[in-house]
Amino acid sequence: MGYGIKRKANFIKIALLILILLGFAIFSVTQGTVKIPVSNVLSIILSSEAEASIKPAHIFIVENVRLPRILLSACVGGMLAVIGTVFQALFKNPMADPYVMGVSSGAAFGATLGIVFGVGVSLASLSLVSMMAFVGAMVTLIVVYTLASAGGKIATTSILLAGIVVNAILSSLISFIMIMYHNEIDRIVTWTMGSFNAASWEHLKLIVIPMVIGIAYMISLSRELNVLNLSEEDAKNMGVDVERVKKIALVVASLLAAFSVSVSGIIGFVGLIVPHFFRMIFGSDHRLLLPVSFIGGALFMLICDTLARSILPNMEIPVGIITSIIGGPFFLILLHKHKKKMEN
Amino acid sequence: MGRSIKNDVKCESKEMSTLIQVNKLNFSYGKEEVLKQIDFAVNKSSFVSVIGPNGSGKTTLLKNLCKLLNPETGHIKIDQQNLTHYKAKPLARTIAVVHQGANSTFDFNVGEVVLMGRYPYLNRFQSESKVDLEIAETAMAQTSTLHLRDKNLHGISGGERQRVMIARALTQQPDLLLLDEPISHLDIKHQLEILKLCKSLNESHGLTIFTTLHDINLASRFSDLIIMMKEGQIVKIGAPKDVITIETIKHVYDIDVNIVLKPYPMIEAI
Repeated sequence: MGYGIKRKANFIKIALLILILLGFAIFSVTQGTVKIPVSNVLSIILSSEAEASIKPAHIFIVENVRLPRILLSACVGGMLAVIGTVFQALFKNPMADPYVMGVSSGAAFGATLGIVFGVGVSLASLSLVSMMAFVGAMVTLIVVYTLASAGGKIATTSILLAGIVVNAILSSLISFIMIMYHNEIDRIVTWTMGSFNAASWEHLKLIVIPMVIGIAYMISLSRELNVLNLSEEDAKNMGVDVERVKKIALVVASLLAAFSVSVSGIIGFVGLIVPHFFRMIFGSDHRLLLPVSFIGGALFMLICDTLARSILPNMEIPVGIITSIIGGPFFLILLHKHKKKMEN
Repeated sequence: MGRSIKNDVKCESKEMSTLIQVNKLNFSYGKEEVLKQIDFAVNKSSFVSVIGPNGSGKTTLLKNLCKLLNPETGHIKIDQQNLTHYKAKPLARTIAVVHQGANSTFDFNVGEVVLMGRYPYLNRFQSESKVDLEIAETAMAQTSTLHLRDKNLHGISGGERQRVMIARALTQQPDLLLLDEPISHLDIKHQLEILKLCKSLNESHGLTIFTTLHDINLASRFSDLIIMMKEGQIVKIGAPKDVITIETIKHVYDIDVNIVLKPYPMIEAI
């Protein structure tokens, strides 16, 4: 098999996915309560000076509402998918998702405290809730990591177990707070279901640098992740510094998860399913799988969020609900087909 | 290829031809002593089998040799160099290991898995060159796995998977191939197939083979050197005819046997 040909084919696959993503992103800008024609959208995005024929309200909607939201949802979707792929490879566990280290419940706990005790406070245009979510995620990450590491080594089962237990404790605490402050139940529940309705350029600025560095680092680890897929012992004997790779990848991926969660809330399913989806189509080689998961995750999240904000008039559905309702059945069909193919 | 050149240059002095040198090796899991005062040396291009009952320390010894476990006291030299001085990648270019029950979590095809053996030769941003591909193909040809290259690792038989893992190990172009119970889950046909493959690699390429085995007769038939272990110690080390005797088998396995020479010694349980 010509690997030159394979590399070229991979490049084409990635390029095609990017084109689809761009196309859908532009379509998404036109959609919403106010429909804006494609031509107007393009001229608002591409030219610095606003054309006289376009309504100022449209310019405002595109530039300050829809564009940041679309970019943010795509970035978060892409990150979650990459984190999920990396965790599944590191833990050798198809059930692993971006929140295995308790980042989600840590963020939710932080956000809950922010909602209950600090309404309206904000710093540098970021809401207190976002910041508290980030702090909560980081603290949980450090706790789980410390609990699971012993003697310089990290046992993956310990991480999973520590993550589950910390999750359970924090979820109970959140429930407790909700009962104590039942006026805020609505806001807490909505936050935990995940949404991009508060998306802003500030959110984007916050995540874009960690995202670029983190994703690039993950992609540079592709070959190690491939080798780890055999077993940790095999990987060591093939020259991989397994403990180092595990530690750094766990921390970097969880950091990215913390950033995602703090700007969007907990959006399930994307980080769990998108990796499997693309593994079935493109195989498990992380050199292709990681970039493809990023683009695919971005596209999937963008589609779901577009539906979330335009499917019901005058009301927004939390995007976490859409990801599972749309993604679930789609995935089950693919899984069924894949199993059939494997049996033949 | 580099491999054949390397092995054509046979070293003159006896000392230089030692590949594995183990001195006073002790290892324990917690308080349980698993290896006690292990001493032995293996020459280049030998075929070595480690035999002994379950729990005698065979696998632990093998894991010490490939640095998955570190000796408590004593030391191991590979090619005159202390094992602790090897970095991960150079070690993987010297020693390749086939562990028990190899498999993968996610779908990879055979060709991809074999090519992973080039990992210790590539830096972070390098992709496999044509030469790397040729090396992987040669390894697949040697192990008769070329026809499997596009098959999923999950979708092939146990014997095939073991050959694929050997191909992957050969792709590392090692001087020493360690195998942990490579035939324990295979039927008799595939057992012979794997050991014959190892023997042919040993004879034609001078690859040193170090394997743990349960089957005493197969060990006797294929090995130049047998290390017989009991309770973490070496009971006897030497050529099959010196190690496989009525007395040692009685001592190590507590069974009575007859020995038939054909010409290597074979045991018959009584």
